[in-house]
Amino acid sequence: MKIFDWQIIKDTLFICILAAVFGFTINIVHPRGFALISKEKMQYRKIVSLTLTEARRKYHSSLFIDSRDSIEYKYAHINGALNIPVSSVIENEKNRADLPEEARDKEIVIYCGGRSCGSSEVLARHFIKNGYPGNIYIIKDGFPGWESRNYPVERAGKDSK
Amino acid sequence: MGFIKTFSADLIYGNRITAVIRIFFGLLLLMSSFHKVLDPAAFASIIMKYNIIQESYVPYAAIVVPWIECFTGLFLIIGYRVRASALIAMGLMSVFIVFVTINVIRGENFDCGCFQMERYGIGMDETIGITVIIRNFIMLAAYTVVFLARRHLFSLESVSERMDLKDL
Repeated sequence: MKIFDWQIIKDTLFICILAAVFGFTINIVHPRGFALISKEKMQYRKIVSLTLTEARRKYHSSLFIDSRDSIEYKYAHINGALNIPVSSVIENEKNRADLPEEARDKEIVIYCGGRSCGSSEVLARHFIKNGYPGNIYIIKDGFPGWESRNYPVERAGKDSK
Repeated sequence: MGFIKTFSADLIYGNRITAVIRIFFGLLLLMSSFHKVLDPAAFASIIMKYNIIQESYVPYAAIVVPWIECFTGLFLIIGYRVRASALIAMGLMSVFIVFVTINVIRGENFDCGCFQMERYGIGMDETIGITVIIRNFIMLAAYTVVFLARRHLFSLESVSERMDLKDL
């Protein structure tokens, strides 16, 4: 028996084509499918969402940015996180939030007030637009998720955990 | 020594153990495709973490790869186009090994996104590292055995072969 013959090449192609046909057809109706867009429009794909466990692993090596309002930030935030409220970026595009110095040699992890807040993604897009070269990570479950896991949090007037 | 030689010769010829390996590792492949098929966006973000494929190609990989895994796993279980399925599975494992190894060398530390057992309530450490690489090598070896086997018991192929012989 030959290891490679025409039959195996044909069968391999058959499976790959079958998978591609199924994949692209189901993608059209899939609720979490992709809009297949051109390369030029792909810049926002650099935003990668993280689970809480993954974010915790990046805690010591990355720069955490809180995109919530300064009042919320002052009340409680991830220990060591910087505050860049997304409202300040939206209100005055000229007064744009520059990349913090620390971000030059660190990865950025942004969070906001939960799954539906969206401000972390807005801020991430802003950084990418302003030339941040790498991937930007956002914490899917935001600050409430982080807090619920008892991960390091700094509160107003209290010692950090 | 003689036992090992006979055992491996039987395995390559295609005995019941080969069939069990084929079905078990087919099942693993099918299982690993489930969450990717259901949530291609989450799978795309896993591919992004590997930071190897160019961003514009990530959605295409996230759409096609889970279905390749799904069909390959299914065909291995039922024993249809077995050698081609095993060959594809070998290719997938080789790619996974390269992707994980590159990221381990880079010092990255994230979930490999292989089986996502957390979704089914089973706690399993899937952080990329030597364990994941060894596991992928074991799977690669298993698919190689299936690929090299001459016959496949308990498969559609063996059923159709038997029917052909009856007709003679």
